[in-house]
Amino acid sequence: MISDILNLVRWEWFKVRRRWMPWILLAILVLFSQLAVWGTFFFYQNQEDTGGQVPYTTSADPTGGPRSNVQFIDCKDLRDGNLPADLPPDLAPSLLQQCDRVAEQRDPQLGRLRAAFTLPDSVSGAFNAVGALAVILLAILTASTIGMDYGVGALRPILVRGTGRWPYLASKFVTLGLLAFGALVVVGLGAAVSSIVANAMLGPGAAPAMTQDTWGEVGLSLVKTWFSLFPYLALTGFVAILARSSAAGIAIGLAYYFMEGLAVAILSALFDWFRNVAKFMLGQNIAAFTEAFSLTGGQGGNPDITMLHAFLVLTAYMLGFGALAFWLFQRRDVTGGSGSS
Amino acid sequence: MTDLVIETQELTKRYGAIAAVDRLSLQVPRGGVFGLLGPNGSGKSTTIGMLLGLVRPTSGRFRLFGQDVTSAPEASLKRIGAVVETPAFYPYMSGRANLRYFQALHGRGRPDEIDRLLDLVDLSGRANSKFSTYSLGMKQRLGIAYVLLGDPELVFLDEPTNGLDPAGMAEVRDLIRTLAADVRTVLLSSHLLHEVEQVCDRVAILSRGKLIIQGNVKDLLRQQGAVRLKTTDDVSARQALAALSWVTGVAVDDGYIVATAPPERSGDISRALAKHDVYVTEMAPVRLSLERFFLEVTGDDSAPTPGPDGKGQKAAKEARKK
Repeated sequence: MISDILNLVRWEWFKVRRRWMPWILLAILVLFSQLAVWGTFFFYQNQEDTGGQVPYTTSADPTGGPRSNVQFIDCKDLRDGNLPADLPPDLAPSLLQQCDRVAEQRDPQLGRLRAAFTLPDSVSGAFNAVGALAVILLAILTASTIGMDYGVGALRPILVRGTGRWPYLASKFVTLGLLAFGALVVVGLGAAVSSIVANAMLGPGAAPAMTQDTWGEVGLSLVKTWFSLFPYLALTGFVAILARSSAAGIAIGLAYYFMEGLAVAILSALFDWFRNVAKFMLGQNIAAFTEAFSLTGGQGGNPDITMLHAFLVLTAYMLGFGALAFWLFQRRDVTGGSGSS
Repeated sequence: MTDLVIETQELTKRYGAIAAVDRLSLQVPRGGVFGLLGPNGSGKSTTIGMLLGLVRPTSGRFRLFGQDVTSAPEASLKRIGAVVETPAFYPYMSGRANLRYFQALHGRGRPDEIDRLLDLVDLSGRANSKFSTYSLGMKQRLGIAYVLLGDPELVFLDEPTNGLDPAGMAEVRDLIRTLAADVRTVLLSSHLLHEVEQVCDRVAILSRGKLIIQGNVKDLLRQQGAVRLKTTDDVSARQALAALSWVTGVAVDDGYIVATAPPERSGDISRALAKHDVYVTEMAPVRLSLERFFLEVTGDDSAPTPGPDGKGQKAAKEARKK
């Protein structure tokens, strides 16, 4: 049985790698993670270049009007003596004092900012950044991969030569799971390479990175992000089998993702008791489990959900949808021109 | 005891109140081409689907290669090659890649087998083109190459000449005969009467999910043959023939009486008519076409399609009148 599944996984990969879709989805995922790394880098550079900013108020409108005007000046310009014409000279010393206070706070801020594009934090940060997007992209790939067999009618030639239904579906899920893992590894490697390049581009006076993660925590972050994808893998796989269609699998999978976020936001605001219901909803638990940014649940999702609770709920969803998918795939007739009726 | 590759016992598939296949008991012996004949909706594809594990039978049992595999046919299916309805492969992969995939998936066949099969079905020149760019005829030919992967003992071909031009049809029919020349068995499902008549050794006729008759094509046609005659008194002759229990039909065609009866009973016909003082002036056996035979055994208006030359249409009309 295991060797059958492994052989099927190998040849599922043979099919998948010949399609454009997985590569496009991977490119989107990597691009998104790179934006997170390089976005932080350029924000850091901007902060460092300006040395922070302080506000000042001009006593009068330069055009002669009566109203005051709030302006900002870079601390670097202030220290270099590049004062704007509208800055009252007597304000400069107090602004310099403000800049000193900013500098005291800025160094830890810059250190944390730099950590976001410095190893190993940059890698776990990349996993957190792509977690929600990975759920969506994997849902698309899962529905497409399973639904295509129905759509083109290829399920019949696969099954009529003695391929077991159970091993075949298992191989689909295993392949998709491995692809998801591979995609996260590529994201991590990409973030690592970009981190090295970004740090090499910094000048010698850059603030030291205040990294917090160990490589072990990075590995844990990878596993958590990966595991959080499984319930959606099972959900969209089940829907694609139920509807015998890629499009339906994608549409229902994504609609559920976004509708859950909206429903939780609205119903939790209307009814207190719904907060307890929300603790058992899929998206909420994914966000809580990964402690990552959620497209629908904000940073870290519902704070009432513990890690263990999230793990158990996600496992229950994964097993539930997975069992339904296997049961349906095993028992349903495959007939009709497309193998779908 | 005959070596049967397929044997069904009261095999039934119901969709609600409708029986797509109704208590089908079929015996397909090893070797040769076995035709599964019937109009659209007669239950051919559902029967094949059940034998191939695609459709779950409502009741009944079936054996493949002598083993009861009703609930788990997977192991026996590894000895079978089959195309059910339209050949369906991955459109974004080439014909060669599709064959490579299916060959590897089932773990059978040598590496050079794909080139040989592509050559056999005359697709070598387009082997690396995407399946989505193939014409229907090319898809059918790739389907046949797929069926032959791993040199299966039993081959199911479901309407294999659909979409082929006349030359392609003739090639495929020759190929089917070649396939069945050794110990391999070919189960050919078709609604084309002349195709079954030309290619098959044995046939089973299905109508509305039921098996009407099965047996050797030549024997069936001989048993259900006809005799064409002229007599000294055709009116009395028709009455006398209609009274005979072994004459199943009497009609008039182009001034001749056509009596549906085994041609070897021509002498009995002469004697029976002579008893009524009617004498035969001309008599000849009529080779019954499979279409005529089909109509006679089913009495079905939704007859399968006759040959492209229209052969048999006159007889069909006549039989309907009867």
